Amino acid sequence: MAMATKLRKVTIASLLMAVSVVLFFQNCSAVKINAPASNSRTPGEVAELSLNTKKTLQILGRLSVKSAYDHPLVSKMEELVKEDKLFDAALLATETDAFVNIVVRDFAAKMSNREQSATAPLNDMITTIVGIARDDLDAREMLSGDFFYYAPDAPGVTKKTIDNHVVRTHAHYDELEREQTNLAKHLTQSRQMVIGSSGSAMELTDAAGVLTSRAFMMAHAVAGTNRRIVEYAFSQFLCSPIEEWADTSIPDGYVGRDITRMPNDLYKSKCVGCHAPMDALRPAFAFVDFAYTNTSGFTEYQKRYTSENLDAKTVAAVPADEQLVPTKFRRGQQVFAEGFIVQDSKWENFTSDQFGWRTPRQGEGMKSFGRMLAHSRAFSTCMARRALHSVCYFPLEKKAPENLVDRLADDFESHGYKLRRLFAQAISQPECTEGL
Amino acid sequence: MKIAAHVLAVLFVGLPGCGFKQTQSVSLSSEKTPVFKVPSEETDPFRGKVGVVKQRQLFAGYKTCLKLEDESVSLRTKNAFQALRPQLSPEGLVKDFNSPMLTAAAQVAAEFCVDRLDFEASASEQFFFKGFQLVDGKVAQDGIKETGDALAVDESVRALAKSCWGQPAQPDEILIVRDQTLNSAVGKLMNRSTALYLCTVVLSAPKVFQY
Repeated sequence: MAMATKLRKVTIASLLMAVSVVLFFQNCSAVKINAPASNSRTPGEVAELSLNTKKTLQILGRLSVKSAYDHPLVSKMEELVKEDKLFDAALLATETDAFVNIVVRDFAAKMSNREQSATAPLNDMITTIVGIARDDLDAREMLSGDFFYYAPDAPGVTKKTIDNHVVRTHAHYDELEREQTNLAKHLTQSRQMVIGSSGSAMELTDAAGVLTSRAFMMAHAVAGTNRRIVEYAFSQFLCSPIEEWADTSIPDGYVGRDITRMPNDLYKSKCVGCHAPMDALRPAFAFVDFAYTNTSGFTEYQKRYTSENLDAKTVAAVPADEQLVPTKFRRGQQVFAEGFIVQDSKWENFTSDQFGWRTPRQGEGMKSFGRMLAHSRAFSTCMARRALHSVCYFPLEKKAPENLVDRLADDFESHGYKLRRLFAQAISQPECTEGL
Repeated sequence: MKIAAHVLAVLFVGLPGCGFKQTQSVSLSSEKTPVFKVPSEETDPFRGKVGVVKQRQLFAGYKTCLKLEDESVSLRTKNAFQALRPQLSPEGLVKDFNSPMLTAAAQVAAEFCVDRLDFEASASEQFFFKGFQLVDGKVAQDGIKETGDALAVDESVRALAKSCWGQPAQPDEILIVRDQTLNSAVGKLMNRSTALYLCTVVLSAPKVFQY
């Protein structure tokens, strides 16, 4: 019986597939027409859309959602399109809920996971970027703000306590996803929280925007050595994979004990290229770890690590000046004992000027690290490239024309780093809309 | 099961001849409308030149075009969307436009149509389905009448297309939907099943998925 049901399902599925494939590419004109359709039209209905209407609908479709051609917003936008004010028309489209709910959300989702997939489930990193766009905040807050966004008052949401449903688990965002919550309507800003040394939730004093979000920490601070946080911060927010900033000429004084120096030729010609710049920045995250169990996972901040906290395999006592540094930084004593020991969160930036740094190259903690990234020229060009990818489909992996990216980045910086404006500018550039 | 039957019917009826033609033209539209430009080195020749609605755009688009408020979208529809989401286009690329996507989109469309029918059944005035008996259990008294009811079907198709296609329905398109609806197994009465059928047909047409 079960077999028969299964077979039936498979047959229907195969039939659906076959039918859609076969029929899909047939020509409309092959369908026989027996009698004319009625020609009566409702008031305001047209037989054919004008080019300006089509152009307006395409802009709206890319920045928001497909709309009826007689929608009041289309009329408003079309007036501007007629006057060749594409940017102003696009800016109107960015005021719709769908712009933040869909376009910005997908833009943010791609930065929230290693695969750069827009289908990532909703999380605190995505909602925070969506919130920044909705509230028209300075986008640099993305990497240095001390807040996050959630939606405790959204309809159908029951799991809304910050401690249990946001800090320790993902339950709140799962509910928002299930309910298809209108984020534009229901997001609320709140202070970032983590689990402190006492084991309870506390405000994060060294918050760095989405870098310290639960989602980013879960993706990059779980296990490992916290180097991945640095690598992905550059990759996601400066659009620069580590291969582009590896440099074997950088002094290796910060390279950790867990990196073997043997064979020395290989170390000097290859390993040091990535580790020298990355390990010098890694101390920014010296006091965080992501604790993960089967049922929950949370960011721990300034937990005091004593020998009692360590697993049975680790027998060495934890020095007093390393007690706030997670065990993961303490690996490799037997690999190269003379390597750098992370004892505090002071970091140094040895990467080249290709990123257009504008803030001090040294700092302490996560916020100053995030601030350095956000104030760099590379952050602006990266956001421009990501916006072009979102609405003009320029591939991220291949650079969009430099002058186009620079134009957008200049405008982004000179108008307060507003995401809405950036997207509206992107879609109204000739390189994106030529031929419309 | 009822919805599955509608989806199957829609794939037979709604798709013939209304698909995008794969020609050298950069436009997926049947009209010669210039569309977005793309860097020439792209490997996907369509990438950047046309847009296919993304997963969440489909959900928001159906909700908007059927004029449903947040609270009128049922949990059943939300669950169906969540379950079918992996088959829908994540990034709006033409390569995502395939049979599994169409099947999934048709199923989501049918769920949204049910929500709209529920809404209209309890509303004081019908908007998309004027002349249809939409309350379950109430039987439409007469069969389809050649003239008046056919015009009502035309009006429904026209209204749905206007709202969901982003462009007016052409006479031949209205005829396709009308004739197939009236000639289908469910289309013998001006009732809820017929309304669901034609709604799903219109919302599964390729014009819904392109911009």
